[in-house]
Amino acid sequence: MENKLFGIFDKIHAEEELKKRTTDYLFVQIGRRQHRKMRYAMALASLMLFLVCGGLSWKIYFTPVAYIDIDVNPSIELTLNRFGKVIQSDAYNEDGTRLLSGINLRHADYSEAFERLLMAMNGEGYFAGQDSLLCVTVQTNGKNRENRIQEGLRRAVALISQSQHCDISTEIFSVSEEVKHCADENHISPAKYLAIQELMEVDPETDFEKCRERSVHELRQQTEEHCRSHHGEENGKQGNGVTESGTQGNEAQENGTQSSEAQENGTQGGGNHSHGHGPGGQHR
Amino acid sequence: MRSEAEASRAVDLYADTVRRICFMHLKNYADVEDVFQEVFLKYILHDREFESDAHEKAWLIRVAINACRDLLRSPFRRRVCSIEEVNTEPFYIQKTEGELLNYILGMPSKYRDVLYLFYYEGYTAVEIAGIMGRKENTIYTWLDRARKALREQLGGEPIGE
Repeated sequence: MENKLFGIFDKIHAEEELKKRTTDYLFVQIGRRQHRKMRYAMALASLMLFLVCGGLSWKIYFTPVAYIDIDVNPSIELTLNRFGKVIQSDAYNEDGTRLLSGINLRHADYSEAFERLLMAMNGEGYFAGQDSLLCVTVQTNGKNRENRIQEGLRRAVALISQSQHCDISTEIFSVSEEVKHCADENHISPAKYLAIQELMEVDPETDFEKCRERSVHELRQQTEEHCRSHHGEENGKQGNGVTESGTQGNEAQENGTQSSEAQENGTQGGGNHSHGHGPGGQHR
Repeated sequence: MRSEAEASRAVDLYADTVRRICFMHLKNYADVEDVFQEVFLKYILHDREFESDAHEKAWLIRVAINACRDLLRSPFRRRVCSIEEVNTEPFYIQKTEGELLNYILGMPSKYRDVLYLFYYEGYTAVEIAGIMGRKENTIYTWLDRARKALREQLGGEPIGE
Protein backbone atom coordinates (compact mmCIF):
# COMPACT_ATOMS: atom_id res chain seq x y z
CA MET A 1 0.00 0.00 0.00
CA GLU A 2 2.85 2.33 0.87
CA ASN A 3 4.37 1.62 -2.53
CA LYS A 4 1.06 2.24 -4.21
CA LEU A 5 0.83 5.67 -2.65
CA PHE A 6 4.41 6.46 -3.61
CA GLY A 7 3.75 5.21 -7.12
CA ILE A 8 0.68 7.42 -7.53
CA PHE A 9 2.48 10.55 -6.41
CA ASP A 10 5.59 9.66 -8.35
CA LYS A 11 3.70 9.68 -11.62
CA ILE A 12 2.80 13.32 -11.22
CA HIS A 13 5.33 15.57 -12.91
CA ALA A 14 5.40 19.21 -13.88
CA GLU A 15 4.76 19.52 -17.62
CA GLU A 16 7.67 20.89 -19.65
CA GLU A 17 5.38 23.52 -21.10
CA LEU A 18 4.39 24.66 -17.60
CA LYS A 19 8.03 24.81 -16.52
CA LYS A 20 8.96 26.80 -19.61
CA ARG A 21 6.09 29.25 -19.23
CA THR A 22 6.90 29.69 -15.53
CA THR A 23 10.58 30.29 -16.24
CA ASP A 24 9.70 32.85 -18.91
CA TYR A 25 7.25 34.53 -16.53
CA LEU A 26 9.91 34.66 -13.81
CA PHE A 27 12.49 36.15 -16.19
CA VAL A 28 10.02 38.84 -17.23
CA GLN A 29 9.25 39.61 -13.58
CA ILE A 30 12.96 39.78 -12.71
CA GLY A 31 13.58 42.09 -15.66
CA ARG A 32 10.66 44.33 -14.73
CA ARG A 33 11.68 44.55 -11.10
CA GLN A 34 15.29 45.30 -11.99
CA HIS A 35 14.09 47.97 -14.40
CA ARG A 36 11.84 49.38 -11.68
CA LYS A 37 14.72 49.31 -9.21
CA MET A 38 16.86 51.13 -11.75
CA ARG A 39 14.13 53.71 -12.24
CA TYR A 40 13.83 54.25 -8.49
CA ALA A 41 17.62 54.53 -8.23
CA MET A 42 17.66 57.04 -11.07
CA ALA A 43 14.83 59.03 -9.51
CA LEU A 44 16.59 59.00 -6.17
CA ALA A 45 19.89 60.02 -7.76
CA SER A 46 18.15 62.84 -9.62
CA LEU A 47 16.50 63.99 -6.42
CA MET A 48 19.81 63.90 -4.58
CA LEU A 49 21.50 65.81 -7.40
CA PHE A 50 18.69 68.35 -7.38
CA LEU A 51 18.96 68.78 -3.61
CA VAL A 52 22.75 69.05 -3.68
CA CYS A 53 22.70 71.51 -6.60
CA GLY A 54 19.88 73.43 -4.96
CA GLY A 55 21.73 73.54 -1.66
CA LEU A 56 24.94 74.63 -3.34
CA SER A 57 23.17 77.29 -5.41
CA TRP A 58 21.42 78.51 -2.29
CA LYS A 59 24.73 78.66 -0.45
CA ILE A 60 26.49 80.43 -3.31
CA TYR A 61 23.63 82.88 -3.80
CA PHE A 62 23.30 83.77 -0.15
CA THR A 63 26.99 84.04 0.68
CA PRO A 64 27.83 87.73 1.19
CA VAL A 65 30.86 88.91 -0.72
CA ALA A 66 30.49 92.68 -0.60
CA TYR A 67 28.96 95.37 1.60
CA ILE A 68 27.84 98.82 0.53
CA ASP A 69 27.27 101.24 3.38
CA ILE A 70 25.38 104.40 2.57
CA ASP A 71 25.39 107.33 4.92
CA VAL A 72 23.51 110.59 4.45
CA ASN A 73 21.54 110.78 7.55
CA PRO A 74 19.74 107.57 6.83
CA SER A 75 22.46 105.07 7.41
CA ILE A 76 21.93 101.87 5.43
CA GLU A 77 23.94 98.78 4.58
CA LEU A 78 23.40 96.63 1.50
CA THR A 79 24.86 93.13 1.56
CA LEU A 80 25.70 91.78 -1.90
CA ASN A 81 26.31 88.28 -3.19
CA ARG A 82 28.85 87.34 -5.84
CA PHE A 83 26.33 88.18 -8.59
CA GLY A 84 25.95 91.75 -7.37
CA LYS A 85 22.44 91.12 -6.04
CA VAL A 86 21.26 92.56 -2.75
CA ILE A 87 20.68 89.67 -0.34
CA GLN A 88 20.12 91.81 2.72
CA SER A 89 19.45 95.45 3.55
CA ASP A 90 19.86 96.79 7.07
CA ALA A 91 19.44 100.18 8.63
CA TYR A 92 21.82 101.62 11.21
CA ASN A 93 19.47 104.34 12.41
CA GLU A 94 15.81 105.28 12.56
CA ASP A 95 15.89 107.28 9.34
CA GLY A 96 17.36 104.26 7.60
CA THR A 97 14.68 101.96 9.03
CA ARG A 98 11.94 104.31 7.91
CA LEU A 99 13.39 104.59 4.44
CA LEU A 100 13.85 100.83 4.05
CA SER A 101 10.36 100.04 5.29
CA GLY A 102 8.92 101.38 2.05
CA ILE A 103 11.37 99.74 -0.34
CA ASN A 104 12.04 96.10 -1.06
CA LEU A 105 15.61 95.82 -2.29
CA ARG A 106 16.05 92.07 -1.89
CA HIS A 107 17.40 90.34 -5.01
CA ALA A 108 17.72 93.66 -6.85
CA ASP A 109 20.95 94.48 -8.63
CA TYR A 110 23.13 96.64 -6.38
CA SER A 111 23.15 99.64 -8.77
CA GLU A 112 19.38 99.46 -9.15
CA ALA A 113 18.96 99.17 -5.37
CA PHE A 114 21.30 102.10 -4.89
CA GLU A 115 19.39 104.19 -7.43
CA ARG A 116 16.11 103.42 -5.70
CA LEU A 117 17.59 104.42 -2.36
CA LEU A 118 18.91 107.68 -3.80
CA MET A 119 15.51 108.41 -5.33
CA ALA A 120 13.83 107.76 -2.00
CA MET A 121 16.37 109.90 -0.14
CA ASN A 122 15.94 112.70 -2.66
CA GLY A 123 12.19 112.42 -2.30
CA GLU A 124 12.56 112.79 1.45
CA GLY A 125 14.70 115.90 0.89
CA TYR A 126 17.97 114.58 2.24
CA PHE A 127 19.93 116.12 -0.64
CA ALA A 128 18.13 119.48 -0.52
CA GLY A 129 20.47 121.25 1.90
CA GLN A 130 23.82 122.68 0.86
CA ASP A 131 25.61 120.74 3.58
CA SER A 132 24.26 117.30 2.65
CA LEU A 133 26.84 114.63 1.92
CA LEU A 134 26.34 111.17 0.49
CA CYS A 135 29.04 108.99 1.92
CA VAL A 136 29.30 105.48 0.49
CA THR A 137 31.80 102.84 1.51
CA VAL A 138 32.46 99.55 -0.21
CA GLN A 139 34.01 96.57 1.50
CA THR A 140 34.83 93.50 -0.50
CA ASN A 141 37.66 91.13 -1.29
CA GLY A 142 39.14 91.59 -4.71
CA LYS A 143 40.21 94.77 -6.39
CA ASN A 144 38.25 94.09 -9.59
CA ARG A 145 34.96 93.64 -7.80
CA GLU A 146 35.69 96.70 -5.68
CA ASN A 147 36.35 98.87 -8.76
CA ARG A 148 33.33 97.48 -10.54
CA ILE A 149 31.02 98.24 -7.63
CA GLN A 150 32.43 101.73 -7.15
CA GLU A 151 32.00 102.43 -10.84
CA GLY A 152 28.40 101.21 -10.72
CA LEU A 153 27.69 103.39 -7.72
CA ARG A 154 29.18 106.47 -9.38
CA ARG A 155 27.13 105.85 -12.49
CA ALA A 156 24.00 105.55 -10.35
CA VAL A 157 24.76 108.86 -8.58
CA ALA A 158 25.32 110.57 -11.92
CA LEU A 159 22.10 109.17 -13.30
CA ILE A 160 20.02 110.23 -10.33
CA SER A 161 21.67 113.68 -10.22
CA GLN A 162 20.77 114.13 -13.86
CA SER A 163 17.26 112.77 -13.75
CA GLN A 164 16.27 114.39 -10.45
CA HIS A 165 18.05 117.67 -11.22
CA CYS A 166 19.85 117.65 -7.92
CA ASP A 167 23.45 118.14 -6.96
CA ILE A 168 24.58 115.34 -4.72
CA SER A 169 27.90 115.78 -2.95
CA THR A 170 29.31 112.29 -2.94
CA GLU A 171 32.18 110.38 -1.45
CA ILE A 172 32.66 106.82 -2.54
CA PHE A 173 35.57 104.88 -1.16
CA SER A 174 36.57 101.41 -0.05
CA VAL A 175 37.26 100.37 3.50
CA SER A 176 39.25 97.47 4.84
CA GLU A 177 37.70 94.45 6.47
CA GLU A 178 39.04 95.59 9.86
CA VAL A 179 37.32 98.97 9.64
CA LYS A 180 34.10 97.28 8.57
CA HIS A 181 34.41 94.89 11.47
CA CYS A 182 34.95 97.71 14.00
CA ALA A 183 32.04 99.67 12.53
CA ASP A 184 29.80 96.58 12.75
CA GLU A 185 30.75 96.08 16.37
CA ASN A 186 29.57 99.62 17.11
CA HIS A 187 26.57 99.23 14.83
CA ILE A 188 27.41 102.26 12.72
CA SER A 189 28.47 102.65 9.11
CA PRO A 190 32.21 102.48 8.34
CA ALA A 191 32.13 106.08 7.07
CA LYS A 192 30.67 107.29 10.34
CA TYR A 193 33.09 105.12 12.29
CA LEU A 194 36.04 106.71 10.49
CA ALA A 195 34.60 110.21 10.95
CA ILE A 196 34.22 109.60 14.70
CA GLN A 197 37.75 108.19 14.88
CA GLU A 198 39.07 111.35 13.20
CA LEU A 199 37.14 113.55 15.58
CA MET A 200 38.40 111.59 18.57
CA GLU A 201 41.96 111.97 17.33
CA VAL A 202 41.70 115.75 17.40
CA ASP A 203 39.40 115.86 20.41
CA PRO A 204 39.99 112.87 22.70
CA GLU A 205 37.18 114.02 25.01
CA THR A 206 34.55 113.33 22.33
CA ASP A 207 31.73 111.10 23.54
CA PHE A 208 31.40 108.21 21.10
CA GLU A 209 27.74 107.54 22.00
CA LYS A 210 26.74 111.15 21.33
CA CYS A 211 28.42 111.04 17.92
CA ARG A 212 26.42 108.00 16.91
CA GLU A 213 23.28 109.98 16.00
CA ARG A 214 25.11 112.68 14.06
CA SER A 215 25.66 112.61 10.33
CA VAL A 216 29.09 112.11 8.77
CA HIS A 217 28.97 115.63 7.46
CA GLU A 218 28.32 117.04 10.93
CA LEU A 219 31.14 114.98 12.40
CA ARG A 220 33.54 116.19 9.71
CA GLN A 221 32.49 119.79 10.29
CA GLN A 222 33.11 119.41 14.01
CA THR A 223 36.53 117.92 13.32
CA GLU A 224 37.43 120.80 11.03
CA GLU A 225 36.16 123.39 13.51
CA HIS A 226 38.13 121.76 16.30
CA CYS A 227 41.27 121.74 14.17
CA ARG A 228 40.75 125.36 13.25
CA SER A 229 40.20 126.51 16.83
CA HIS A 230 43.08 124.39 18.05
CA HIS A 231 45.43 125.90 15.49
CA GLY A 232 44.16 129.34 16.29
CA GLU A 233 44.96 128.82 19.96
CA GLU A 234 48.42 127.53 19.12
CA ASN A 235 49.07 130.47 16.82
CA GLY A 236 47.96 132.87 19.54
CA LYS A 237 50.30 131.26 22.03
CA GLN A 238 53.26 131.30 19.63
CA GLY A 239 52.85 135.02 18.93
CA ASN A 240 54.79 134.60 15.72
CA GLY A 241 52.44 132.30 13.85
CA VAL A 242 53.50 132.97 10.28
CA THR A 243 55.80 129.94 10.01
CA GLU A 244 53.35 127.72 11.87
CA SER A 245 50.40 128.77 9.78
CA GLY A 246 52.56 128.16 6.76
CA THR A 247 53.13 124.61 7.93
CA GLN A 248 49.44 124.17 8.59
CA GLY A 249 48.84 125.58 5.19
CA ASN A 250 50.97 122.85 3.74
CA GLU A 251 49.00 120.23 5.63
CA ALA A 252 45.81 121.72 4.33
CA GLN A 253 47.32 121.67 0.91
CA GLU A 254 48.03 117.97 1.31
CA ASN A 255 44.41 117.44 2.25
CA GLY A 256 43.50 119.53 -0.71
CA THR A 257 45.43 117.18 -2.97
CA GLN A 258 43.39 114.30 -1.62
CA SER A 259 40.30 116.34 -2.27
CA SER A 260 41.20 116.89 -5.86
CA GLU A 261 41.83 113.16 -6.23
CA ALA A 262 38.39 112.48 -4.89
CA GLN A 263 37.04 115.16 -7.18
CA GLU A 264 38.69 113.45 -10.10
CA ASN A 265 36.95 110.27 -9.08
CA GLY A 266 33.75 112.22 -8.82
CA THR A 267 34.22 113.62 -12.28
CA GLN A 268 34.69 110.15 -13.66
CA GLY A 269 31.48 109.19 -11.97
CA GLY A 270 29.52 111.81 -13.84
CA GLY A 271 30.39 115.23 -12.48
CA ASN A 272 29.13 114.95 -8.92
CA HIS A 273 31.03 116.80 -6.23
CA SER A 274 33.26 114.71 -4.04
CA HIS A 275 34.80 115.74 -0.80
CA GLY A 276 38.24 114.37 -0.33
CA HIS A 277 38.90 112.81 3.01
CA GLY A 278 41.70 110.62 4.07
CA PRO A 279 40.65 108.37 6.92
CA GLY A 280 43.14 105.78 8.03
CA GLY A 281 41.20 102.68 6.96
CA GLN A 282 39.93 103.82 3.62
CA HIS A 283 41.22 102.56 0.27
CA ARG A 284 41.17 104.71 -2.75
CA MET B 1 15.57 39.52 -5.49
CA ARG B 2 17.07 36.34 -6.90
CA SER B 3 18.74 36.09 -10.28
CA GLU B 4 17.49 34.35 -13.43
CA ALA B 5 19.94 31.49 -12.81
CA GLU B 6 18.54 30.92 -9.33
CA ALA B 7 15.00 31.01 -10.71
CA SER B 8 15.87 28.39 -13.37
CA ARG B 9 17.55 26.18 -10.79
CA ALA B 10 14.55 26.31 -8.45
CA VAL B 11 12.11 25.49 -11.25
CA ASP B 12 14.27 22.54 -12.35
CA LEU B 13 14.67 21.21 -8.82
CA TYR B 14 11.25 21.77 -7.30
CA ALA B 15 8.78 21.93 -10.21
CA ASP B 16 7.54 18.34 -9.64
CA THR B 17 7.08 18.86 -5.89
CA VAL B 18 5.09 22.04 -6.39
CA ARG B 19 3.13 20.45 -9.21
CA ARG B 20 2.13 17.49 -6.99
CA ILE B 21 0.88 19.81 -4.26
CA CYS B 22 -1.08 21.81 -6.84
CA PHE B 23 -2.49 18.57 -8.24
CA MET B 24 -3.75 17.51 -4.84
CA HIS B 25 -5.51 20.79 -4.13
CA LEU B 26 -6.62 22.27 -7.41
CA LYS B 27 -9.13 21.04 -9.88
CA ASN B 28 -8.20 22.82 -13.06
CA TYR B 29 -5.07 23.53 -14.98
CA ALA B 30 -5.46 27.33 -15.09
CA ASP B 31 -5.41 27.45 -11.30
CA VAL B 32 -2.45 25.07 -11.22
CA GLU B 33 -0.52 27.36 -13.53
CA ASP B 34 -1.42 30.44 -11.50
CA VAL B 35 -0.33 28.89 -8.21
CA PHE B 36 2.75 27.31 -9.78
CA GLN B 37 3.95 30.69 -11.05
CA GLU B 38 2.99 32.47 -7.86
CA VAL B 39 5.04 30.04 -5.74
CA PHE B 40 8.18 30.54 -7.82
CA LEU B 41 7.60 34.29 -7.97
CA LYS B 42 7.54 34.32 -4.17
CA TYR B 43 10.72 32.30 -4.25
CA ILE B 44 12.60 34.84 -6.39
CA LEU B 45 11.31 37.68 -4.23
CA HIS B 46 12.38 35.93 -1.03
CA ASP B 47 15.67 37.62 -0.18
CA ARG B 48 16.69 35.64 2.88
CA GLU B 49 19.20 32.87 2.42
CA PHE B 50 18.11 29.27 3.12
CA GLU B 51 20.12 27.23 5.57
CA SER B 52 20.17 24.21 3.25
CA ASP B 53 18.47 22.66 0.21
CA ALA B 54 16.15 20.81 2.58
CA HIS B 55 15.18 24.08 4.20
CA GLU B 56 14.58 25.58 0.77
CA LYS B 57 12.39 22.66 -0.28
CA ALA B 58 10.37 22.75 2.96
CA TRP B 59 9.85 26.49 2.47
CA LEU B 60 8.57 25.96 -1.09
CA ILE B 61 6.22 23.17 0.05
CA ARG B 62 4.75 25.38 2.72
CA VAL B 63 4.35 28.30 0.31
CA ALA B 64 2.72 26.01 -2.27
CA ILE B 65 0.23 24.56 0.24
CA ASN B 66 -0.66 28.04 1.50
CA ALA B 67 -1.03 29.38 -2.05
CA CYS B 68 -3.42 26.55 -2.95
CA ARG B 69 -5.47 27.13 0.19
CA ASP B 70 -5.58 30.89 -0.39
CA LEU B 71 -6.80 30.36 -3.93
CA LEU B 72 -9.49 27.94 -2.83
CA ARG B 73 -10.58 30.28 -0.04
CA SER B 74 -10.78 33.27 -2.36
CA PRO B 75 -14.46 34.04 -3.03
CA PHE B 76 -13.64 35.55 -6.41
CA ARG B 77 -11.60 32.62 -7.65
CA ARG B 78 -13.50 29.76 -6.11
CA ARG B 79 -13.58 27.01 -8.64
CA VAL B 80 -16.18 24.30 -8.88
CA CYS B 81 -15.39 21.30 -11.01
CA SER B 82 -16.43 17.72 -11.50
CA ILE B 83 -14.38 14.59 -11.01
CA GLU B 84 -14.11 14.34 -14.83
CA GLU B 85 -11.97 17.44 -14.81
CA VAL B 86 -9.64 15.79 -12.37
CA ASN B 87 -9.27 12.84 -14.72
CA THR B 88 -8.07 15.12 -17.46
CA GLU B 89 -4.76 15.57 -15.61
CA PRO B 90 -2.02 14.44 -18.00
CA PHE B 91 -0.43 11.53 -16.27
CA TYR B 92 -0.63 7.78 -16.52
CA ILE B 93 -2.25 5.91 -13.70
CA GLN B 94 -3.58 2.40 -13.77
CA LYS B 95 -7.26 1.92 -13.16
CA THR B 96 -6.86 0.60 -9.60
CA GLU B 97 -4.45 3.40 -8.80
CA GLY B 98 -6.91 5.84 -10.35
CA GLU B 99 -9.57 4.75 -7.90
CA LEU B 100 -7.20 5.14 -4.97
CA LEU B 101 -6.17 8.53 -6.29
CA ASN B 102 -9.76 9.66 -6.61
CA TYR B 103 -10.34 8.55 -3.05
CA ILE B 104 -7.31 10.48 -1.82
CA LEU B 105 -8.42 13.55 -3.73
CA GLY B 106 -11.82 13.27 -2.07
CA MET B 107 -10.27 13.37 1.41
CA PRO B 108 -9.95 16.63 3.39
CA SER B 109 -6.91 18.58 2.23
CA LYS B 110 -5.10 18.23 5.56
CA TYR B 111 -5.14 14.41 5.19
CA ARG B 112 -3.97 14.64 1.59
CA ASP B 113 -1.08 16.86 2.61
CA VAL B 114 0.14 14.67 5.45
CA LEU B 115 -0.16 11.51 3.32
CA TYR B 116 1.86 13.11 0.53
CA LEU B 117 4.50 14.57 2.82
CA PHE B 118 4.82 11.42 4.90
CA TYR B 119 4.66 8.70 2.24
CA TYR B 120 6.15 10.41 -0.76
CA GLU B 121 8.45 13.16 0.50
CA GLY B 122 9.52 11.07 3.50
CA TYR B 123 9.15 13.76 6.12
CA THR B 124 8.66 12.78 9.75
CA ALA B 125 5.62 13.92 11.71
CA VAL B 126 7.80 16.48 13.48
CA GLU B 127 9.01 17.90 10.17
CA ILE B 128 5.49 17.95 8.76
CA ALA B 129 4.36 19.81 11.89
CA GLY B 130 7.06 22.39 11.18
CA ILE B 131 6.09 22.74 7.52
CA MET B 132 2.36 22.99 8.17
CA GLY B 133 2.67 25.09 11.29
CA ARG B 134 0.74 22.60 13.40
CA LYS B 135 1.42 20.71 16.60
CA GLU B 136 3.16 17.38 16.28
CA ASN B 137 0.24 15.56 17.92
CA THR B 138 -2.16 17.08 15.42
CA ILE B 139 -0.07 15.64 12.58
CA TYR B 140 -0.06 12.21 14.23
CA THR B 141 -3.84 12.38 14.57
CA TRP B 142 -4.32 13.40 10.95
CA LEU B 143 -1.96 10.69 9.74
CA ASP B 144 -3.76 8.10 11.81
CA ARG B 145 -7.18 9.11 10.54
CA ALA B 146 -6.00 9.26 6.92
CA ARG B 147 -4.47 5.78 7.21
CA LYS B 148 -7.65 4.35 8.75
CA ALA B 149 -9.78 5.83 6.01
CA LEU B 150 -7.48 4.47 3.29
CA ARG B 151 -7.37 1.06 4.97
CA GLU B 152 -11.15 0.90 4.94
CA GLN B 153 -11.21 1.96 1.31
CA LEU B 154 -8.69 -0.72 0.39
CA GLY B 155 -10.57 -3.45 2.28
CA GLY B 156 -8.27 -3.74 5.27
CA GLU B 157 -4.97 -3.78 3.38
CA PRO B 158 -2.33 -2.60 5.86
CA ILE B 159 -0.48 0.68 5.27
CA GLY B 160 3.10 1.04 6.48
CA GLU B 161 3.43 3.34 9.50
